[in-house]
Amino acid sequence: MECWHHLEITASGRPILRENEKDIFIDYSVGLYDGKHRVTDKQNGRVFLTSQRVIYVGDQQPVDNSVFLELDNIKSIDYSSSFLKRSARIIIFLKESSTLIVDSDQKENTDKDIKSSWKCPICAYVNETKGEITEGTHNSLICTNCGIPAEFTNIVDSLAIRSVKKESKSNECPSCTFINHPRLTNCELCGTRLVHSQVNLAKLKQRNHRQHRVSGVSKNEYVQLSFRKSDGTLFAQSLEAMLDKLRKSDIFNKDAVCVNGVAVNDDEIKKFQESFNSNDNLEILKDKFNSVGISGLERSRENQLANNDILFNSALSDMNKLISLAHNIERLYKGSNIEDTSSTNTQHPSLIIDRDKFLNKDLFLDEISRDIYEYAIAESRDNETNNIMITLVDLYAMYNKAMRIGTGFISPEEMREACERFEKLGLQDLKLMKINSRILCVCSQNSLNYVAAQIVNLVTQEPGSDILKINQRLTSNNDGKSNWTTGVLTEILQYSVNDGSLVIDEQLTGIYYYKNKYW
Amino acid sequence: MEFPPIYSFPPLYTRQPNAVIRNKQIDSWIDIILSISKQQSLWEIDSQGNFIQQSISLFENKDIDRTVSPLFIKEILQRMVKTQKLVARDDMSDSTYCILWKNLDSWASLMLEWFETTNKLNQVVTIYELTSGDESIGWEFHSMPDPLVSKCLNLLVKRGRATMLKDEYNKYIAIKVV
Repeated sequence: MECWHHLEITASGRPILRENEKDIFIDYSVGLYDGKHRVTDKQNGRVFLTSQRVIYVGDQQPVDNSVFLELDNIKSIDYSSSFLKRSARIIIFLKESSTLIVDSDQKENTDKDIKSSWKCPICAYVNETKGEITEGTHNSLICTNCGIPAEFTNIVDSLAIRSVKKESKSNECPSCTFINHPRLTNCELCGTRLVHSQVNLAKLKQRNHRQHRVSGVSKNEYVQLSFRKSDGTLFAQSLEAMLDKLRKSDIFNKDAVCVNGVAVNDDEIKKFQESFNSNDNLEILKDKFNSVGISGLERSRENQLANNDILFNSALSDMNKLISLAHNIERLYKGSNIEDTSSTNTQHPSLIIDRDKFLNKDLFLDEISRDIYEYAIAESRDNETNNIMITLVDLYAMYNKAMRIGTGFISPEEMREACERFEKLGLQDLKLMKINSRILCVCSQNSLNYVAAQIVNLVTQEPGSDILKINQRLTSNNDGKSNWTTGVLTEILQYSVNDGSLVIDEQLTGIYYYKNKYW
Repeated sequence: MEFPPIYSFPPLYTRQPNAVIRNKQIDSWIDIILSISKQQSLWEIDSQGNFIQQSISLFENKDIDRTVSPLFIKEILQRMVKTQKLVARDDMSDSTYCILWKNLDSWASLMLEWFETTNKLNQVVTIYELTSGDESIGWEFHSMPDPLVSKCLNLLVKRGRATMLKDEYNKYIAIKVV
């Protein structure tokens, strides 16, 4: 189980995503196998596929039984469908030990770090060659000044070998040679990805380290996911697609047609040129056709406007790139301390609950339920007493506005059904309650009694308060923060009246509340 | 007039929505009505809640500017009829009630006591003599209206202790207790 890492999860049993991580697919009732052996405590859980990891969250004791696997560590996957009693499986082959590659890398590096300088016997120009020059390497000794190959014996006097210490701090851009700040990941001037950047190196090291651990301890080169309920094909497909995408993203300039005027891919260039030519021809034909009279003038004006538009758009996108670069640099100047604190404050990207990801409504509602739970808890986190009470209508509006834009609103029925699932999913802090047998509220366990007691207390102090006054007093008692909407207060007052602890005095100006001290 | 402290409690004048509380509220009203009518020797009340003998508007409290709604007054009076704190003055209509701050049996016993203490046994006594005569001053039934008196005396007749005498209009005017 060494390839699986322990995972942090939220109170509602959902994984905390990293920055820039997106979730893609979720599957249910999945068991884990390490090699051929089933992992005993991880046989029933949900599996999330994100853009960086495969995450397993156990249904029982999610805090202890949740693990993840880096997509980087996956070599390939294989899918085997269900057969008789055997459920569908995805076999994930892990990358083998990368120690050999790393070692050879290091050797190469040391080779490159040694520089030899020698004087050309013809023109006396001092050449510099990478690597150590011995008698065996005389073939490559060509003077860069006069172009005449030199004999090893002739230059042996002037030969000086020194090892160049590789400066870890210099962060030279491979394409424009500008020396960047060591923490920049992309060149400040031309935007090329920097290989020597500290951040990139650190990432590389981390990855290597991880792989060392994986290869060093785990004997099994594969793990399996067993799908108990679904057939897992969708998960396998999306995992395959994700791996593919990941592989492609490692290739630098993958979609470029040409670099510095040199064609990378001839076919693409041809295609591009053809399309360009055909467009050109078409344009000319059109121009000829319509260039007569006022309509022609109008047409040419329109074309001009359209061209301006395109120009502006490209200029704006350039601006955006520039601004994002500027942000990057700004963050660097602020120093690492500030960066650390800010990173703890930054919100982790939340899971996007898209209908398309779910096989049936039940699973979708389960996930929505967790999401609502998390949202409601987060909304009232400032509240010291942790008493939450929101009418379902309010929660519905808030949740849809805050979380569902872009992913499709949920319907009121779905909301209610999702809230009814809190208990089933083991989410203890909130429950759906029907107050006065008509209004559904999502509230924490003791909130109703707590608020009711508080209100009775208030009314005892000031007999004859109306709802506005009660709300104001509650707010001022709570340091200006009120977590109770008027709708909720109305219901609680009604509840207290039905309870017999408050009595009302109904006048034309409104309803005033008194403590029930006589009856 | 002396009112209990609850009389200045504003919710008393609003019909409470909670049924349990409302029952207690109505009981409070009944207590107030009975104690006030006993204090002031008020005997009759109409269905709008106004006392007949004296123009006291009990259901309106000018001090705190609160009034009981007519519907609720009716509900209170109906409850009083049900618990026999009120009895309709005429058997025909129920527009006016007699207030029974003592029940009919105790009134009958009290009158019997009066007959015994004033040595009026075995002689004819007019109803006027009983309720307005000098000899009954100081007794609680002094100034009791005639319809209520005849109801009480009827009980004595039923017990076999009295005989009623009618005038030419078929109205009871005198009684003889044996």
